[in-house]
Amino acid sequence: MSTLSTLIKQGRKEEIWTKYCGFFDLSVKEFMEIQERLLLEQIDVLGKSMMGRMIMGDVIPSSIEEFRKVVPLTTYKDYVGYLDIQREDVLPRKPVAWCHTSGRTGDYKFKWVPYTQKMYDRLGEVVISAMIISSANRKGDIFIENNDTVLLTTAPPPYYGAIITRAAEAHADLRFLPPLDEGEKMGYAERVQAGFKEAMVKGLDIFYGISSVLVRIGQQFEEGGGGSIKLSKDMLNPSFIFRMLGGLIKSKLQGRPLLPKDIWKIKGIMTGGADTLIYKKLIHKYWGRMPMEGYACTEGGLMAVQSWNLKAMTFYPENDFLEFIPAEERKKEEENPGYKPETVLYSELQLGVYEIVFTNFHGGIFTRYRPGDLFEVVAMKDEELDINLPQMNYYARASDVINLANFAFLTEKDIWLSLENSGIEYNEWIARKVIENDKSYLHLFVEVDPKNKLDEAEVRNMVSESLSKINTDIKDMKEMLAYDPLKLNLLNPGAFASYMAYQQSQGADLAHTKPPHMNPTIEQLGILIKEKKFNT
Amino acid sequence: MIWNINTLVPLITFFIYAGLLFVVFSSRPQTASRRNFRWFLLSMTIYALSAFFLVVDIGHSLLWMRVFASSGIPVMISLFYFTQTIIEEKVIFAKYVVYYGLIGIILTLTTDLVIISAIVEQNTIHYEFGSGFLLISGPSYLLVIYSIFLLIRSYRGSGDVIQRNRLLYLIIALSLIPLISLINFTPLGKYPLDIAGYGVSALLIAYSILRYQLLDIRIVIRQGLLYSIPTMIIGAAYFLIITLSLNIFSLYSGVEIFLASLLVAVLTALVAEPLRLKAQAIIDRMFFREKYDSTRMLETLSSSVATVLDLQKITTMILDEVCSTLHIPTAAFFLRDQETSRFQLATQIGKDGAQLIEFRQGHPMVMWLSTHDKPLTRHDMEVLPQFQSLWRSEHQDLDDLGGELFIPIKVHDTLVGIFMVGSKRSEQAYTAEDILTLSTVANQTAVAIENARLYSSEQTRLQEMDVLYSMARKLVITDNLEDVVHIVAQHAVDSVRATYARILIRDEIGDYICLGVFHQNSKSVKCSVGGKESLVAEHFYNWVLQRREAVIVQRNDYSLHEEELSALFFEGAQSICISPLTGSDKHIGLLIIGDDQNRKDSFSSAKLRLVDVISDYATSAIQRALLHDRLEESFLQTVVSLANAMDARDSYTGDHSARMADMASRVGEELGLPREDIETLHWAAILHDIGKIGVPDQILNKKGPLTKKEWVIMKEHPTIGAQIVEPVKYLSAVSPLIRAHHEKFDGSGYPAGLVGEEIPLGSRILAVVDAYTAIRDKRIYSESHSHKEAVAEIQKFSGTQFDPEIVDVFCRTITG
Repeated sequence: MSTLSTLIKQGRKEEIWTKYCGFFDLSVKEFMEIQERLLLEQIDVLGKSMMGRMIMGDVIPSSIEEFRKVVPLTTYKDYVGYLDIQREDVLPRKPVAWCHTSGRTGDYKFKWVPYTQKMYDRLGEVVISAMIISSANRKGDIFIENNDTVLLTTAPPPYYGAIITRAAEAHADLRFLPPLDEGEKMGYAERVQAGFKEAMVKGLDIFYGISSVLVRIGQQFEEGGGGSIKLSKDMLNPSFIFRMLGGLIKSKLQGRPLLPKDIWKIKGIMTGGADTLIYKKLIHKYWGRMPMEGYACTEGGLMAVQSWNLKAMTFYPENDFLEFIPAEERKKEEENPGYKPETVLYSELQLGVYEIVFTNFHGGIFTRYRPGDLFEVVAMKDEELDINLPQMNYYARASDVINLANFAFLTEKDIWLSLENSGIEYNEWIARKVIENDKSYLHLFVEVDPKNKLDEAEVRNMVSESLSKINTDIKDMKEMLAYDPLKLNLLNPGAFASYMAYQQSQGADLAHTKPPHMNPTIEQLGILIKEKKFNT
Repeated sequence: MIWNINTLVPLITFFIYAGLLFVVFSSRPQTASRRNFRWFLLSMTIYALSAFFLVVDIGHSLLWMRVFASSGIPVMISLFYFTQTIIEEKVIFAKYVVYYGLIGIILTLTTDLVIISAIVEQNTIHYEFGSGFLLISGPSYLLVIYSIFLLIRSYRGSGDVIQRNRLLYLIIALSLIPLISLINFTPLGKYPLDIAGYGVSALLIAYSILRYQLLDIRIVIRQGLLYSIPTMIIGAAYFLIITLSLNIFSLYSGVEIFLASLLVAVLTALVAEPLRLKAQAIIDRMFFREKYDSTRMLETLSSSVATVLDLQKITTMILDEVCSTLHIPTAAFFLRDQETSRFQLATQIGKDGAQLIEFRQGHPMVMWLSTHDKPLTRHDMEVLPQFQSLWRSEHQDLDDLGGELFIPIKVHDTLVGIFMVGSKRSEQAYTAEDILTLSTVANQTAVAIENARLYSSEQTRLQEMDVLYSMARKLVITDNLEDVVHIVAQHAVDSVRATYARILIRDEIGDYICLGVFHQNSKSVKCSVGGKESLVAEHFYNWVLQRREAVIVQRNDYSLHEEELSALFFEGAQSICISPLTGSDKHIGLLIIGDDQNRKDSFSSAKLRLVDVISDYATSAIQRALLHDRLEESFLQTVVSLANAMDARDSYTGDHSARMADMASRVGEELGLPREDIETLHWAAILHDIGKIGVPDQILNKKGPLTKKEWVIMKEHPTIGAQIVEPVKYLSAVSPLIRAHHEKFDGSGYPAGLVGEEIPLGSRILAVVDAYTAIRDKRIYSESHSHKEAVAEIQKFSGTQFDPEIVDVFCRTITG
């Protein structure tokens, strides 16, 4: 097996690109050939397992068409009875790891997901693929080297992030800062701090994780906090001295505070989530490189990545079998909950918004599974990079879209960008849909920065104006329906900090200490607003 | 300033270093090895520049000498770090080496410890080493020697030919440095040989790290030898001849010397070309023996394969030749099956456990080779995205095969076969010349192989037809289910060359019942005929029926749990083929063929095709036999109904026959009779009086004694009963018992008057039981008697009417 390490050692850069990023050169036909072959293998494997037969029913499909016809769409509810107790005997293949979700999980505390050896290996490959792409400036660029350093920001096992990290470590010679075995025993803040400390000596090549960590570190540097490092023996290390000296000279020459980019020449940054859009310019300012986005979910693995021009995402063909529910089908289902929506294949995509449905390959269990995520096909190909596969962007979680009278659809990104562009300094926010007098409203709760002197009405007006610019449907609503669908209330200072403290005191898991931005439950809202009385 | 070797060499090398520094600086990407190499080049630039300034004597000779000497330390240190990045190994003491370097440079520059004095006279340097020279400069040489050691170790540990070649360049380049440095301790030290040598070393290193595809170092050495050996020989000869001429002829005049030189030049020109050719031949044989052998192999093959029509012979011949010439331990031919378009393993050498692997039409390798005219390497499969669609089992197959190179065999642009070779014995990668040779073999032999394959395919078809014909002939003459099952199972085993075959039938409630087993070795098998299959196996069988095609399962199938494997496989079986028996859209059961051989895949597509046909024949024959059985069963039921009717007609109490059956069975058990005999006895008891159907009611129910004529009629009933049940296959053993159940131990019974043990044992038991039941029952002509009275009556006739042994057992068993 040619591992990345061996290929790097031998200088076979072209082959590294082909192996890890060659999928960008596939035609839709070739993409579908891979999908079809692996689906047939998966059907074969599923058919031999108890749970597979349970999901697929009496008739074992022998083609893609038959598969889509006879196998119903599934959600976590269809698996929970077996996966929650980690029943391995009913699975198609014995898993090598069990992990659970770290994000929002809806009705479940966690969603447990089994990973087979092949899925685990494949995850390692795609993480490396994403690293290569994130560090590339043009096709064929291979800047990843053996012993590159990666900041460890992911949660410990059994969180999915830990599986990603472990899989990447197994696949390439990476040095995690701090080392995995040590870092996984630390708390989050301690882990990140220890990582940056080690990075001062060993350098920092790759980052993947939450955008806000990079922004926070950058801000600390900008405020002068980055330079005030406690005395330690590491400072005697020549690497540390050269790094600091070089950084100081660079920043002084440019007449600005010392920034992370002066100290580290980071090769690649990989992030995901709605905040990347908000923070990407800041990340570039502080770290000297734009972050690359990917789409990953615990049940399906790392499924898509942006190409090196960072414009849109391309799906990997060999992780999961992909199907998409068109918007019209979703609408039919919303109107009639018993309706079984039709799907289209990857090769049948057109421009528009789709809900993704996937089937694990390589012995995974999730079959025609709906993770509840929406994608927007923004182009059928990327002519600039000569990629002939549909180009997509993450749109929103299906349950997070706020539908205002079928006139305007607001996503987390829309609202977040509106707040950013409004110029208001804020700490956090949440948004819900409310109906009053048969009219739909977006109800926004914002915790503004204490130094902000604006009153509630002023904030509302500023956000409303910003929102109209971001989403022109809101502007049309105001003009054509003659009502402003925005309601806004300011939260008490420290409301979010109190919420987190309360959740931690209740023994909540790391994943649930923060309320979701979109459509929090009444209970979550209740904890957040406490004594304040709003009409919710 | 005087331009001579002492001034020109440092200046030229300075420009070389500066140029290389620029190239390395601007090359992308900036890898760790390149970064370290930059430090080396920077140090060497300073080294060459200081040497130049020193020899041109611009003043401050001691300072420039110390700069010159001190720059040697970072040169060595940077090589040390460079080596670590190349071999990707971190030396424990590496981080302290920087401190050593800094201290060494400072001490060299500022003290007399390394250089005490340096004077330049006529571009020649005269210098004196200080007492600390060895202590300060020595470790830097040790670092380089240690680096060479690391590189050699890495070279020996690497199996990759490209990496080994690269490491060889670096080993030579680094070895030059300490070797050339030794010159400084000889009288030649006054010449800039070390600077020139370092320049060569830097060029070698730069070449090895800036380019991926390096010239084979063997070719470099070969070419060097090719030019230098003849030159040296000719030069030596020239020198020798001139010297001899001068000495022998004592020629001193210019004209004679000119003529002698001319003569030598002409002679040299005449022998130079043959000499060069001879040298090339020797060197070629030294370096390229394989090429020489390959050419011979191609000649041999092209002349011999065209005349052979035996596929096995032709492919084996090619594999043997290729493997012995190129030192390859494993190789194989996969040839396309015309009907299924699958590529099946035709011949293989070097691997016994991986027979009968095949590649389907949609296999990525088949698709790739169909559209490309060049060989595919295993490495390509790991790299190209199209091969991500390989199934796990296909990966496993490829691993088992151990193939390194897959070469297409094409006839008229159609892929007809795949020629696979494993890794070389030397573990070195295939060179371009090897690949060309193998491709040539494939191209030259393609037509011959295809012709032989077509011939062989026809032969196989004939053999298959023979097997099917023989089976069909046997099936057509029997309706017996047991025979049908045996014939089918035996032919399945023989034709597929498997170990055993089983036939299961699916009953109305969905259970799978084993109808029969044929085992090649007559081993005891765990499947009892008539036994029900386990629930785990049932799930799997249902899945096979749904698939509507034969399924092959390997013992090491990763997707099956141990419980399933144990339910599906007989002990010792390595693979099984489960073929559904489906007739008129109704699943009737399964044909399971098992193979004990440790082969990767015992069921090729040709064999599967045969299994399909056998299954079709089996379905039809089993359905027919089942129908026949059902008819018999129906007949049996009719007979039993008649027997019941007879009981009702007779003056016995209603359950006479049933009670007799129970008692007879108990006596049989007490006697230790086999289960089948007890079963027969049971049926004989139930049906023993069925022959009374031919006895009129007035005789049967007559209150008074029968007349002689009536007795004649009455005595016929055992014979009639036996004749009624005789055609029923299941009751064929019952018939003699019925016939003799009125025989008496002393020979006074009827119908045949048999004596003692001439009477079947079952009949002797029936006689006792029948008499006991008759005495106990209330009859038209007699009252019922107690158990004690009945037993006394029986014992009374023991030895005359009844078998005394049976009577004893009966009395012991039946306690009233």
